[in-house]
Amino acid sequence: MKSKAKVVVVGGGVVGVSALYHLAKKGWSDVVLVERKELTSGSTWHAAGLLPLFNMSYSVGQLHKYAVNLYKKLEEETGKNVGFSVVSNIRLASTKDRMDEYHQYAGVAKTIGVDVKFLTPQQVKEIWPLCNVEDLVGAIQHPEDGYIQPADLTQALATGARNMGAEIYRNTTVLAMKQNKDGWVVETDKGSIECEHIISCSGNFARQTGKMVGLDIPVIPVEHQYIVTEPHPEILKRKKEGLPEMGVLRDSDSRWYMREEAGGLILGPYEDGAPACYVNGPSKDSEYELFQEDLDRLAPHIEGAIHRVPAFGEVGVKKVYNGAICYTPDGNPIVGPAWGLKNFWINEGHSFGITAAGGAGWQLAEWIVDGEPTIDMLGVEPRRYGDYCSKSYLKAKNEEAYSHVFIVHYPDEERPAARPLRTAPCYERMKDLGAVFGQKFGWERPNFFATDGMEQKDDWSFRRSKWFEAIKKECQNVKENVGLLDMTAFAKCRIKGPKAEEFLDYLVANKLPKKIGRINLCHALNTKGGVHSEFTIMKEAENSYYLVSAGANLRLDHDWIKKWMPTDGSVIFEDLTNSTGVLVVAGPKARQLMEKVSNDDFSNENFKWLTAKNVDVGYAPVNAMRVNFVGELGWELHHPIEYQNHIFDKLMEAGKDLGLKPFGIRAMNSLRLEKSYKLVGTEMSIEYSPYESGLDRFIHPNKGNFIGLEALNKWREKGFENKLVTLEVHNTTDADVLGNNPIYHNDQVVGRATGGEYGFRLDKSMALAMVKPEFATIGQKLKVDILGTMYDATIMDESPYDPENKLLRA
Amino acid sequence: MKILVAVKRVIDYNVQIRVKEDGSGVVTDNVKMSTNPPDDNAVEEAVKIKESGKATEVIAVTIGEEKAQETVRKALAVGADRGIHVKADGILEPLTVSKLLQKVVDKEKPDLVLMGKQAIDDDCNQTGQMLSALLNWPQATFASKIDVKDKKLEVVREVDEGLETIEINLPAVVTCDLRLNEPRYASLPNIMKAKKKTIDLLNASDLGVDVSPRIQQIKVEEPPKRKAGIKVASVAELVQKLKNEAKVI
Amino acid sequence: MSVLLIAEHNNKELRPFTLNAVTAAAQIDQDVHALIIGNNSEEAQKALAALPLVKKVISVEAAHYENFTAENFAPVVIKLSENYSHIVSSANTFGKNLMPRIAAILDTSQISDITKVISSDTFVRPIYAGNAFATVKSNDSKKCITIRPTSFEACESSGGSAPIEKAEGVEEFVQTKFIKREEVKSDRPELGTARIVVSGGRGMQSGENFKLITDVADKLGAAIGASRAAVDAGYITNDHQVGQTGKVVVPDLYIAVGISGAIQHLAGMKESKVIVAINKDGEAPIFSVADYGLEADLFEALPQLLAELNKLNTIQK
Repeated sequence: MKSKAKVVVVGGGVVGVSALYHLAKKGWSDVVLVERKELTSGSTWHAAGLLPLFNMSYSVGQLHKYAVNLYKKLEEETGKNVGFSVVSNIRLASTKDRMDEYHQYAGVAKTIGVDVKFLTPQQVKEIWPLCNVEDLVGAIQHPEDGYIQPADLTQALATGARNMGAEIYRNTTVLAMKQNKDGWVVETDKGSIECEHIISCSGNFARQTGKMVGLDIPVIPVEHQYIVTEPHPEILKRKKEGLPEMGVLRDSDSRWYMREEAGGLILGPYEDGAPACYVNGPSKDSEYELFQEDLDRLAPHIEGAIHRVPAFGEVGVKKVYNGAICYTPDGNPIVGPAWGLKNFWINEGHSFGITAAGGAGWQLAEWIVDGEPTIDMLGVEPRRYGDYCSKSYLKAKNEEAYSHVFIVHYPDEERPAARPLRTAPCYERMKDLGAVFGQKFGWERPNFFATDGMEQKDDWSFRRSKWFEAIKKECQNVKENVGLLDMTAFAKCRIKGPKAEEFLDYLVANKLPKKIGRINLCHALNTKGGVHSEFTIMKEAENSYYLVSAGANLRLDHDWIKKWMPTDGSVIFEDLTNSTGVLVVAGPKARQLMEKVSNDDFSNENFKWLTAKNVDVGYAPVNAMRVNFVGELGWELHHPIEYQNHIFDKLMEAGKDLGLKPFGIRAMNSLRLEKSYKLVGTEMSIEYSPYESGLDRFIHPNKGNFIGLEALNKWREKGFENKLVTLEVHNTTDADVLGNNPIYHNDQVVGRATGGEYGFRLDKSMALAMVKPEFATIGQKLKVDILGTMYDATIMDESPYDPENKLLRA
Repeated sequence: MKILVAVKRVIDYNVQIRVKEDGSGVVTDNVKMSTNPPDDNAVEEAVKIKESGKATEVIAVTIGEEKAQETVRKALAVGADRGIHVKADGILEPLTVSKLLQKVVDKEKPDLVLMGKQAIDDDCNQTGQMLSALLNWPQATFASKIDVKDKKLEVVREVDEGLETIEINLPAVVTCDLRLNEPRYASLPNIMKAKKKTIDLLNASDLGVDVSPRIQQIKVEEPPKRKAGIKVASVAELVQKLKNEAKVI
Repeated sequence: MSVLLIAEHNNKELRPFTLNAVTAAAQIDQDVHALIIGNNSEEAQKALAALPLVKKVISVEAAHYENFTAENFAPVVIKLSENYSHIVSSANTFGKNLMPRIAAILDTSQISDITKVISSDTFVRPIYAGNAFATVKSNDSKKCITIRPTSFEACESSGGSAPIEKAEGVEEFVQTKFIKREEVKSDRPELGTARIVVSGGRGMQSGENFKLITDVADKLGAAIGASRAAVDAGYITNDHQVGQTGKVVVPDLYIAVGISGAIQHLAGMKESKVIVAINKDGEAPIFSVADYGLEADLFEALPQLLAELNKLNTIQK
């Protein structure tokens, strides 16, 4: 065994071996993998081997697409067959909502170049004669999809890695991982390995591995069962006649997959009530482990399967596999750097590990070797979770994620488990006002308000649903009167110290606010020049800055700051998120409102746009910042959290005569679209330069050096491939753009929508979209696909609502 | 003819057995369990005899903790008519099991008792023989073929020397070899139906049998580790090693 | 107290495992008495008396002992058991069939298949198909024990001169009738129970090439196995599949040819006593479980193997 290597990969499932392979492929041959037992002996070996390209997430979709292409080429490269059966994959729809989901998905697929076909029930019958299609609405088919032999795939990747110089140590248990001054020391029962980087790919052991280095990795596996039948005469007959395999069948509404296996069938349901397992970790000797089957909880799905494919009930059950699959609260894996640790990488929580292993290994290798990934990894980012992920929370959410695998993935879905968890003090007050909440980063946030007799309940849809009318009222009230929004979930921090200004100036691409009390919107680019984070920065005092960023990105943004921050104590970081509440007042009557609750001067000349002041609201101290995300006169009121209800009550009381009403996140989304305001993760991402995202006025390449500047300059020389535009979508009736919709020009895909909603102030259906620069001129006519229907769209001026910001500055 | 089939719940044959660190036994928590494989052959044979019209009823019986019932359910799913569960906790030695089965036989008065030749957990290979001894019935162990004749069975037994054919009068006990037949798999509709059937519950304590073990298990250890293999340079060397070192050819 | 050893024989000679059982019996107690029940078994009685470890031979003769039925043997042993602390036989089909019938009547919890004698009441025996070994102590006053023959050496077979005593049998158990005994002469043993298995994988490249496997298997009296890959590729039918979704085999010798050793396959054969791997890919995982690995092209190695086997005088079957 080597005593030194550049990287040590911990864990020899398909995920770990793929990471090893991709590092070697990227030219780092001095890499090793340690596996406690045998390769694949955790969860890889009992995986059903399906390769579903279907995924609603843009980033995960790209990882899957890469993997499928890679697996097809592996035999040629390594000489090892991986048993890849390209038999196609059909997903059935029994409801209109399900078809909407497929249409929305087809848009995502189109934008990332995945082939999807729509089938009629009759076409399904032709491909799958054993399938009862009577009650189907339709189906989609992935012709390139299929299944693979997971163990063979792992061995092929291992061979590929070894051929490039990587080494694999089986039957080697990691006992400890310690940081030393140059990197890490991995201590195993066979000796120690010094290395620069560690990648944790330990599957069911993720939490134990994390504990060794002080990380609480939010992974707990859930039991998944699949049933293997003995051969069915009809299938054997088909084989004998030389007919093709019928392909993977997914009945989403009955929540199962089915495929042929050795003349019989495999059924894998995703049922309710599947328990989390290995909650305290597997035993140290665990290998090739299966649990007791429990067919009772599969009963409704088995009935559904027999209804759909009667042949399935006609033959005996040969075996039931019940094994652990890793889960995370949102069901997506965790791939990327650990927070708070240098050169420790996480590649865990894979519930579709066979499909995701290829792409995860690919991007991790990019990230480790080149410093940044090449695709937007926000969907799988380890730092998308926070320390609210207690063991009990994980157990509840992961079981929920499992049971939701086949749920209709509504864009406005909010999952109920483990809620409410984190609540702002005004939570109960908002609830009494009709708030229907969503959850972000563990926080409850009002999504909209049910008023005028509307049921206080969410209504999910791909189309305009009941809450459409609710947010219409909220938006109109913000336009005409004044609205109140709870943004306590914002990530907040203070950066101070003698070198605070110098450090922040290097961190972000915009100039820092010069005067105390000034506010600038600033973007932190990554080293490749893409947009990593967005901060609202307020200068509180000389060398003391207050930073606000998206609540969901707290760990990501704060970890980015800490990663670049000098470690000599000249800059001090202080997290203020949990101690600071934020209430936003916005609308033409916001000034009147503030004047009623405060004795401070809120006049335009003494409280200009993009400035902040410490004021009193009632008896409470408040840092009022004159900014907002909705494009009206308004203030964000940042306050020590214990005063929140005092402030809330003062505002509500004073606002009675002014028409003050609360509004929620969904109204905010509509309002921000009319202002062409961007969000990290959709309009802004590491895949786009700030110029493509239309952030030109926030980027100052001549201000001096900052992170990403050099790469950004090179990027500019190379030329940009995208341009963010604001679209009006014409003639919509019951649906608006949801994001990831393909944009067409003369039948050519020329871009994709990043977000959309109806704009009530403009009375237009709106969208933001990334399109090729040659199609980005104002007035350009384009087409956009919404749930399978083409709509005309026209590029509008940026910020079509109040383009000159007169209202903001009023 | 009435057939009683005894089935045992054991750790599934595919499970990698792990010895507990304290040496008190093997790990059974969270471990997949299933019917002892040759017991499946016994059930299959009973069902086949019934299907051939030579038996009128097949009763599946198991002895053990609550979950042992699953094995009876499985038997019901492939064609047993009814089930009996003798509830007993803790380690049950074959002697105890055969005494409990004797009580069930007294009650049910079957003409034939079938069971697997050996359980794959304790590997004792005793229960069938013990039961027939207690009943003073004929026994046919390791059966690979059973012909039902009038009040008699002709049984082919798998013995070390080859095959032995015996004829036994009924009532009798027969223990089944894996070669006896190919157990059928239950279809899902039958599995679901079997879940709804009632199983008669008896308590070992009510049957007047002392179930306390006579054998004290002092410790359980892992087998010696497989020694590392070697690479041989030629076919000739391989054959020489197999002949003289491993002594397997 | 003394040990009563039940000899296995065919009326002419002792069956070989009796010698191993004597060794085990003598480890329990030096005073080993050997019981031989048969019909016209004088030759076998003499052989038994010649074992130096045997202190006394007890012979029981009757026509109905000709065929060793447990129903007839058990009452004889029970009748003689009074003076013995231990009753021992070997754990082959003879002993397995007989001993529990004795133990049940003596109301003794039998200890089967011991591999080691720790003391007169404490023994080691394999459980879970040898995946664990239990040390057990019998609390019964009379102990019925079967021994695993391969775990004890055969005892010295000559030089002894134990006295041969005759004892009376008991009346015949008429409900059981012996009909015949025949040696199996099936062309090829079944995969699940064969002593030797020769398996081919995807490396065989075609169904026709499986002939190379068949030839070697015929020579060894072995069953033929295959990896899932070979089955999927249509080289051979799926009843030959060894592995997770196929059969699990535990032969004395498993020869894997052109099989890389995917975990699913290993799960089906890694408990085999001796594993041989023949593969041209030296990194193939199959080598990690193989006792003997041969890195070679199977198309050269298999004919050579056949030739080498043909050179041998005898092959165990």
